[in-house]
Amino acid sequence: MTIKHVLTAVSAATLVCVLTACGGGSSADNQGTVSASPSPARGDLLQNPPPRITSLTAADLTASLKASPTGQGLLAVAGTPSCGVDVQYIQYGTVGGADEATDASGVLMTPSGGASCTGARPVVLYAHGTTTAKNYNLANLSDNTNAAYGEAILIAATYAAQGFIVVAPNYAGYDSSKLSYTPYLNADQSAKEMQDALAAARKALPGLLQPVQDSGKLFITGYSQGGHVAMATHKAMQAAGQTVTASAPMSGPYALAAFGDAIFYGNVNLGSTLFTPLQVNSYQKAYGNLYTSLTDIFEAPYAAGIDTLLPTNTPYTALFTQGKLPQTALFNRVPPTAPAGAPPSLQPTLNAITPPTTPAAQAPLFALGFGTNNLITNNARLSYLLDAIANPDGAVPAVTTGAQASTPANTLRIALKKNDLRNWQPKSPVLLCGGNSDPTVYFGLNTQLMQGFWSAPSPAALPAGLLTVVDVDSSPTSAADPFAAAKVGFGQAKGQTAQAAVAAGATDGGASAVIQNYHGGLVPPFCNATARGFFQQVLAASK
Amino acid sequence: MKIHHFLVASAAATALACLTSGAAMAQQNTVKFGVASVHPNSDASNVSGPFTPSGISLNVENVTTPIFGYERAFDDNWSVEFALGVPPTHDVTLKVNNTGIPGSAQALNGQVGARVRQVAPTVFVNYRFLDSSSAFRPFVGAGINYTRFDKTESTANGNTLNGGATSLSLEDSVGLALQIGASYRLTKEWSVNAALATAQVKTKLTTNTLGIVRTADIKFRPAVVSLTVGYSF
Repeated sequence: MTIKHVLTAVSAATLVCVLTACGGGSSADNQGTVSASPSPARGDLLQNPPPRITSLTAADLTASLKASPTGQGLLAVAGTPSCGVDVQYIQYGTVGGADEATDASGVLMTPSGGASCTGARPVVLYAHGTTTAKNYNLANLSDNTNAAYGEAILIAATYAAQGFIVVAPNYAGYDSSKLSYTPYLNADQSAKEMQDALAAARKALPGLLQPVQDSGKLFITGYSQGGHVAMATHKAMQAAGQTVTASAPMSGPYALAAFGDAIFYGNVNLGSTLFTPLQVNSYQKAYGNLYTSLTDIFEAPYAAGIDTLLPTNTPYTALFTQGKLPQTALFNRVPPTAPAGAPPSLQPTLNAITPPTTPAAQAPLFALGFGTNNLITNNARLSYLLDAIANPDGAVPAVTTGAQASTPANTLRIALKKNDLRNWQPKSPVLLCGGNSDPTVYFGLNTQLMQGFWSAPSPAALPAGLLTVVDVDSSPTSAADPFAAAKVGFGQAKGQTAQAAVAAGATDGGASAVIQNYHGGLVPPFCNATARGFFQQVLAASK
Repeated sequence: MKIHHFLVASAAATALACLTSGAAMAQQNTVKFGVASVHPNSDASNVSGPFTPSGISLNVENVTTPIFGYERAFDDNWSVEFALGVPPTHDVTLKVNNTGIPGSAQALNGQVGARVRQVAPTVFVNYRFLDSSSAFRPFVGAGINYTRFDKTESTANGNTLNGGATSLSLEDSVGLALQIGASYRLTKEWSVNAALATAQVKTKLTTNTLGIVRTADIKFRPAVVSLTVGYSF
C-alpha cells in the first residue's frame, strides 16, 4: 500500500467518524425504573432508585446543628448524632380522600456510618403536622428556606441520626403531588398514604447509594395532624394484620368529634381559621355532603375560592393581610339566634358561648376566635350546635361517657365522627405525648380523652403496660421517671421563651410568647425525643 | 438543523475530493496529521435546578489529542481546510463553593465529576502569506466550527454529588472559528505546520439524576494549539 492510499484511508475513516458523530449518540439509560403512569398503583415507587438530596455524616449534621441557636437547642434535646443521614426524595402512588388514584412525595432518611447505623435498621414512619405551605417537602434538606426544613432537621436529628430509617410522606396535595387538594384529617386516606409511602420506601432501600436493610421493626409517630395520622395508621395496619412494633402519636386531635364540638361550643383553638377550610374541603371531597354552596358554611367575603385556597405557596400571614382568611375570628361575635320554637334556655346558652368566659385562664384565647369579620356563618354554627345538643358527644360540653355521639345528624359532625379515633384498641405499645397547656390541639380533649377511653372502667380499657401518656409540661413523677429529661428540658425551654419575650419588651411575663410557640415550637422536640426514647426502650425489651 | 446538514454535506464533499484526489493536480491537496493541545477555557454558570444548593459549578479540563486535516488549495494564497481531531474526552471537574453544604460534598471540589467527548469538525478558509516558492508561509484562517458533545458519562464522584446515577447531555454548538499559523516546507511533499485556533463555543449542560433535571450554561473560549506534519500531492 502506498502512502497515498494510507492517507486516503485515513481520510475516509475521518469521514466515517464525522458521520457517526452526526448520526446522534444516545446517552446511557441509567435512570432506573421510572413510572410515568398518571394513576400509579398504591405503594409504587415512581422513581427507583430515588435520588439522594443530601448526604450528611454525623459530623456534618452536628456542625449544621451547632450553627444556629435552634439547632443547638435541638442538639441538646435529640443528642449528638451517632450516625450520618442520607436524605432521599421518594414519590409514590397513593389515593386521595375519595379513594381516587394519585401520587405524592416524601422523604426516606437512612442512617449511615458505624455498626449501629448500618445493616438491618428499625423504621420510623413519621407523619408531619399541619402546614398551609404547598411546597412543603421534608426531603428538601438542601434548602433551609423550605417550609419543611425545621421539621425535617428535627426528625433527621431525632431518629435517623440515632440509627432509625425514617419514612415521612409530604402528603397528597403537597409538593409534586398531582392531587388538587389535601385529604386533611381523613383517617382512612392518611393511613393508606402512610402505608403507601412505607411500601415505596421499602422498595427503595436496596438501590440506595448507601443501602440499608429494614429490620422489620416498625414504629409509627407523628405530630399534631401527624399525631392523628400516626394513630389512624397504627389502627389500620393492625386491622390489616401488619406488624406495628409500637407507636407514639404526639399532640394530635385523636378525638376529632369531641374536639370539633368543643370548638363549635366556643373553645376556639389557635390556628382554627387555617384548619377549618382544610378540613371542610377535605370532607367535602371525601363525602360530598357538607355543603351545596360554600356560603352554607363560610361567610361571603371568604367563600369564593376557599375550596382551592389551601395548601398554597402564599404565606398564611399574607392570606390574612389579603383578606383571604381572618386571622383568628372563626365565629361571629354576635351569638346565633335561637330558632323559633326552641326551648327558652337555648338563647342564653348560645350567648354564653359567644365567646365563653370560662375557664378564666383560657377565656382570652377563646375570645380571639370571635369577631365581626368571622369565617364561619352563624347558620352553620347554629345547625352544628343544635345537633351537638340533641346528639351530644360523651365528652362535650361535659364529660359523661367519654364516648362518641351515637347518632350525629349534622354532616360535619358525621364526618368528624368518621375520623374520630375513639373506636379501636391497640395491641402493641402506644405512647401518647403532648403538653397540657396546648392552645392549638387541646391535651385534655384529645390525649387525656384517649387515655380515659383506653383505661378502666371504659369498655375499651387496655391491658396494663400497653399505654403510656407523657405530658412534657409537667414535673418528673419521681427520680426514676424515664421521661424526666424531656419534662425538665421542656420547662427550661418554656422559661427561656418567656425570658426572651420579656427581654424584648413583653409585659405579660412572656405568657403570650409561650402560648404562640407552645404547639409548633416548644413541644415538638421534647415529644420527639420522648418518642425515640420509648422506641429504643421497646426495641431493647424485644431483643 | 440546516447548518448541521451543511456541515455533513461539506464533509462529504471534502471526502469525495479526497477520494478522487488521484486525478487532481500535484500539490493541490495536503493532508495533515499531528497533535493538538485543547484548552477549553470553560466558563460555566452555577448549576441550577431542584434540590440544588448554590455555588455548584464545573470546569472542563485540557486534553491533548491526535488531529487530522485536509486542505485544498485554490491558488497560491487561498485554500480551504477541513480540520478534525480524534474526538478528545475531557475531564470535567466539580467546583463546590458553598460552605453551607455538608463537608462530604465540599470535599468533592476539584474532583472529576464527569467526562465528555467532543467532536469538533471545523472548516477554515485560509490565506497564506509570502510567495508560493517560500518554504516558510504564515497563514490566517476563518471559518465555522461545529461542536458536538457525543459521549458523556458521570463519574462515581459526580453521582455522589448529584445524588445518584446521572446522565448528561450538552447542546451542539455552531460558531465562528479563527486560526493563525505557519507552515514550513521540508521537501516537495512534506511540511510541518503549527497553528493556534479558537472558536465561539457555547452549550447548555443538562443533567438528569434519577429524575432531577439540572442545567448550567457553559461558554468556551478554546485555544487549540496544533503541531502537524503535512503531505502534499
